[in-house]
Amino acid sequence: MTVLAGIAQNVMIVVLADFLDSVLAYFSAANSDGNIKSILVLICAYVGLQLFVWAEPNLFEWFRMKCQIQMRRYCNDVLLDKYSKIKYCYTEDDETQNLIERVMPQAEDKLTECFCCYLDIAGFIIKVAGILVILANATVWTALVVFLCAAPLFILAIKSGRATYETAKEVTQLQRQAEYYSDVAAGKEFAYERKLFKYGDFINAKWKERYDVARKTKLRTGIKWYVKSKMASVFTAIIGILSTIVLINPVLNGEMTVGLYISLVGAIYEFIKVMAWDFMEDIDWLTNTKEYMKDYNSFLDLEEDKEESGKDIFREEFKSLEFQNVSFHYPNSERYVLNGISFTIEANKRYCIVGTNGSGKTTIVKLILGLYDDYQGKILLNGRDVKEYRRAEIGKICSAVLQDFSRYSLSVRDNILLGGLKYNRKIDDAELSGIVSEVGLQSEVKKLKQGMDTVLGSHFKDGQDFSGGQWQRLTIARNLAGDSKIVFFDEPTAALDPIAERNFYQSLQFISNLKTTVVISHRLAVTRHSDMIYVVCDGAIGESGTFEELMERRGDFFEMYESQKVWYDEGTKRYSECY
Amino acid sequence: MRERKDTLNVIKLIFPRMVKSCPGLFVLSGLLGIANSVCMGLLIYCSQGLYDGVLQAINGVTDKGEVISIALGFGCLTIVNQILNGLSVYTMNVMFDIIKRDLTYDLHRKVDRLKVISYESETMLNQLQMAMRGRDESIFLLFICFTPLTCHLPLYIILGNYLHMLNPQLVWAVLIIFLPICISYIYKIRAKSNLVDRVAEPKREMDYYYRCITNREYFKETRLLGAISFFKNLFEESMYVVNRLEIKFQTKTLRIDLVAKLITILGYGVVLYLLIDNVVIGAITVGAFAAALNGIGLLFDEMKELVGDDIGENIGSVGAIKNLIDFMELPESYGADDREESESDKYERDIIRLENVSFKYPHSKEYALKGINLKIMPGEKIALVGENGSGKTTLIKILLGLYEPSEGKMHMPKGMQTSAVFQDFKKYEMPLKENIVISDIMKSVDEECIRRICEKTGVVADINTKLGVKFGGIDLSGGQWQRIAIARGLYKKHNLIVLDEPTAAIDPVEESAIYEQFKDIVKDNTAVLVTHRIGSAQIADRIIVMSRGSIIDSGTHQELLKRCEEYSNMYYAQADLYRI
Repeated sequence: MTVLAGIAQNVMIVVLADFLDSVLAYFSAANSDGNIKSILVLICAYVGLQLFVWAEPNLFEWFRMKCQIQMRRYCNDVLLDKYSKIKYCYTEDDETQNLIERVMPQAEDKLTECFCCYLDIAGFIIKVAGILVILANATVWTALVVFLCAAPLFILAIKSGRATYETAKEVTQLQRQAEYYSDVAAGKEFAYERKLFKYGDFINAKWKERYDVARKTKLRTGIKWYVKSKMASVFTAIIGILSTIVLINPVLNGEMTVGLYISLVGAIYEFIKVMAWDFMEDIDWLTNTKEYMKDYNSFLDLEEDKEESGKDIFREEFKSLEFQNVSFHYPNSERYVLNGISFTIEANKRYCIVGTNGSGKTTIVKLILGLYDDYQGKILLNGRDVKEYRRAEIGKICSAVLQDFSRYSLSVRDNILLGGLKYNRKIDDAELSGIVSEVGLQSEVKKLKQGMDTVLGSHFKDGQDFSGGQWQRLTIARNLAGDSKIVFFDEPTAALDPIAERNFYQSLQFISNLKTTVVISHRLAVTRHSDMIYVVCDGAIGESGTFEELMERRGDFFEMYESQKVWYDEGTKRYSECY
Repeated sequence: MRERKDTLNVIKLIFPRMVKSCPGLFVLSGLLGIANSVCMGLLIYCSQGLYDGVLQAINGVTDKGEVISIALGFGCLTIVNQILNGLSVYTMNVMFDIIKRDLTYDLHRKVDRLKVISYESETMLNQLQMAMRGRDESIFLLFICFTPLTCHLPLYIILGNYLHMLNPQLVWAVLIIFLPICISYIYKIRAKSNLVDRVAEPKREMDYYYRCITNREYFKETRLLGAISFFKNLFEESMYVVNRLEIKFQTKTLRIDLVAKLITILGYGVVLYLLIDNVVIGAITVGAFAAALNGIGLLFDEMKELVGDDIGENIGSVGAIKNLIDFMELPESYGADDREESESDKYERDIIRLENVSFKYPHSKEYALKGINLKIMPGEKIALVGENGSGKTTLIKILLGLYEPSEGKMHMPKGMQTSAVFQDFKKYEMPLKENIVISDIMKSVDEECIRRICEKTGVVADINTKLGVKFGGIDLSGGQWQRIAIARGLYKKHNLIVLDEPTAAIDPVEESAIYEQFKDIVKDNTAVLVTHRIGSAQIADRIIVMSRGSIIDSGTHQELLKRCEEYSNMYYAQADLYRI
């Protein structure tokens, strides 16, 4: 529909432009006859056409808005759908993430722009064709000459468009660097260090330097662009001059009317103006959007997870999870994070996975949640290879409270109910307040102005903020709203104060009565309350056993535990050692 | 009325500032604009000559050669016009880039001189955002005030003169043509700023829900929760509201535009009639008639460009520019070093002293700190413990001179140099060396010294390594970044250093190592350590316990364990976890 309207409009403009020319021509012919009546008719026709020509931009703007809204609906639908289906691992890959950031936010604008460009260019070509046809009507050979001169111009324009894109890319890169310095010089998050270290002026000067580098590069490419586009218009002007001069002959011979001559000359010079900016800009835009479309298509070509959105997902009970000799390295690195790791998790027990930073603890959760699947070895869920499961099926059995959990600016209620979505659980108010008090948030929620319906976070006005510990409890509440059978906690206490940490351990006790729990942490205190501890060391299980067994063994675990515990020894033996 | 006065004031304030950036270019681009516009006007005269020439040639009055030379002249003038046009636009762009640079530079400077506390308020962040917008808008305002004078006015004068020459009535008729257009644009501008206001909220929602699906901050969890369609629905609801408002606005303006155009075209008809009448009478030539038509067309296009594209899109911007000006006038702080020294008791001089210090965040009702009395001796090592939200972080910001006490007094010894490692330390996307020297850029760079500090703090990478993935550097583990932050804090010349949770990202063995090195790291300097690992507080000479904005006790570990319930609670909450 919209396409048709656009094309129709453009065809009309051009048809009308043609009319305009001929009306003028007829007019001057009529004028010499002195027929006032026909002149009046022609005036009316001309004025009517002029009205359309003048009103056309308004109609076009309206149409463009419609088109944009259509695109907004369409793009966001398609892109979000695609986004929800692409493989999990892409979301952790920097390159793909950059691609996504390039494609998604500007899809609506780019596609509309691209579409309008096509219409513009189509209108432009029709205009040229119109002029040529009129010319050809009068004298065929001038039309031919003009056409032959104009053809290389188009090719030149298209070629220069591509070159402009290449240089524009370079400028963008430079501008991004300058922008980073601008952020350091004025961004909120740098405020404290900037003030303390007093580097504001220094960074500002650096910013200016970078800005100038980007600016000068832009100017250099700008000159090229202007020269090219002006060359195009000068070239067109020369064709214009040639044709005005050449056309004088047919006029003098009487092959062409004076009216037609005048209107043609007018049209040609009008055309030069269009050539000067609009056409070059359109061509630039087109090459630009063409590159964008490449990105767009490669986004749509990203691999998808298999049958992510299948309906009746069967949910199994959780019996066991087993890693058999699993090795894994991240796609962008050669180093194996997991190196033949094997362990088993059985239902209704409390597990701890501990280890130093970079030992591969978090990677284990990522593999279980299916963020990556190109590992070696086997992961068995209830004795079956996880690769045989559908993602949604695993998702219903396993859940996680992530270290970098999300803080949604939704109401407290929605924040919690989110956890039940996957399970299609209807949670009534009684159950909801039960969950809230389980995680120890009931007094905080009561304090809020609108209770459960208070919107949290700072994204919207009236949003109330929570502290880190409160957010974490909310995340745990969200997890409880779901019905998973095993839950992984990734570094749950890293940012908590001692009391909040203890509260967490209490909630953990409660949760482990409902589900199998696996806590991944470098804080070892939690290990006391678990049935089984796995110590990860260089991507494999270094030691395993109950707390007592591991302490007895006096290995890595013992050493780590002691290094933390020593600060709490009554005898303060270590304390004095420090001095 | 007041609005107009505001606009004038804004222009008066911001323009000199901008012109000062590049006066030469400003004049040059003005001249080019005028030349270009004159050229365009001359073309109309020239076209009449050409048309008349052709007509006369048909009648045999002039010969062909003369007509051809007129045509050539016309063509050359067109080419000159095009070149001037290109040059004028180009110089204008160069000028705007420079103005933008200087305005941004000033803005950065200003931000740097603001009190840090203002970053805590949402309003100031909004102000900054608006000021940034104001920067772009001022350039635009300059453009729309500047170009009419240079690129349009001469053309109008020449064309008006031309039409007047043909027939004085024409000038009036032409004016009437443009009146409805101007009115419709004014209406449009109002409607647009109204739309912008009303769309702002749903747009914000739209953006937020979109981000809940796609942003790094959210995507993982949103996917794991299977909540994508939940957010998609919210997104689509907000989108629907935005769409409806936009359609309503566009349809309404379209209607107004069409009515205005209709009136215009009637006026145009009258002009046309006048012209034809004149031709019939023989007052003007057919060539003049055609030239006048071209001229009116040109006038119309230029007018449309002026009011439509330029003013129409951006007139709502005067408000934004006012924001920029207001922002530039916010009160500044004069750095921590300028604090006056009150008493000069010799003994007291070297002691950091807080007397009855209270602190309240702007727009907050409750005090973050209440009646803090604290003395820190030179070289003393202090540990600060307490629950989240007990005021530890606020207190160290006061100590560092980043915040000023709302009430009470702080005495800082003269020549005290402060440094710190913040809990949310920054990772700079620069080479390792710069990551460290950035804390003291006045110091001449001594690579040996940097290497020594790196070694001491356990930073392993080479000092020329580019860091951060954004611009093709390498990424480091959280622990390595943390060590770099410590190195950065140590590099700055200091005799007071604050370490706020310096080991949150480090595993226990490394953490213990750092605490054991603590004495070595801070040496003889005064040091304040904020920690959640209560056990590690023992490395300090004195432990200060904070709760709800007050210091409730201070002493050694043993003393506090005996007498301070809050402290022993915290201590045993952690210690119990390690008790067998």
